[in-house]
Amino acid sequence: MGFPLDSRESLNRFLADVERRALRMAQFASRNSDEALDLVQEAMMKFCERYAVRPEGEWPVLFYRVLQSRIMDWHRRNTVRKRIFGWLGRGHEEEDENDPIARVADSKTPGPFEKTLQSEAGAAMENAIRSLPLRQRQAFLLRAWEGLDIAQTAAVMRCSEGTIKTHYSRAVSTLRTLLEDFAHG
Amino acid sequence: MDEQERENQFVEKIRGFLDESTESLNPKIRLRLQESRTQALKAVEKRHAWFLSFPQWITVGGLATATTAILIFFFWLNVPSLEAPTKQVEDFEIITSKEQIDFYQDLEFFRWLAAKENET
Repeated sequence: MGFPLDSRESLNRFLADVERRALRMAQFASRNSDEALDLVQEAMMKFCERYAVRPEGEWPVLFYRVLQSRIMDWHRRNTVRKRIFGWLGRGHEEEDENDPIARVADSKTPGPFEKTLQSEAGAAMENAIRSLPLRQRQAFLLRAWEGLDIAQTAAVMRCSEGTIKTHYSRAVSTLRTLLEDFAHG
Repeated sequence: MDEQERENQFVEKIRGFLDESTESLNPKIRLRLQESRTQALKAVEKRHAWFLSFPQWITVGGLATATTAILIFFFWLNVPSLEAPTKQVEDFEIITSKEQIDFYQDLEFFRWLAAKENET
């Protein structure tokens, strides 16, 4: 006997709904599509293994909790790796090497995604969001984009609600400064 | 327009940009996301199947273990003691027990009664 068909369908729908946003969140953090895809895949596997049997209403918080945890792990590993490469004198050699966003400018036939990023406003927003500190960006994307409330965001990021408020408000303030033209446009 | 409304509008613009960027992901990336999802669902099905198979053998095994334990306990309780029934403490209890003296007195009475019946 396998996993109940209803549950499988619900899980499939849920993952299909969140996967693209999850990918973008991972892309903002890793700046690399392949790494981002790996992060999302790991998050999906872990989420399914651990939380598929939990009530459907809890899935968004649990899924993003797993994803944010993966992103944080990746961030830590990457920081250590960069330091080691820094000591070895290889510095920023590989940074942006595989970054699809960095490759966009060289693309002769840009797709719709690249076109979105290539527009002046799109590129500015992309860069502004990427420039936010990791925790501020996570709080902003979870609150403003994913629509989680403060308590849910705090559960995802494993911190207090006060911290979420601070991160979110700083993120919005920074974005408004960086995107002043669009903020008033 | 107050500050909060301006902020909401600004956030709405960014949300619009983010939504647009997900809708226009290239097909290769979409395919990989779909593959990841399929793999995750397969993994959960596998895991679920294992959980379901788990109770079947554990039930049989558990039942057998419980039956064996009950049988061992039962036989252990019914094994005749090989110890000599002349432990001092036990003897002392028998001797000093009031019920035992009454029993022996009654025994004398029954002997006397039986002798009387034989005489008649």
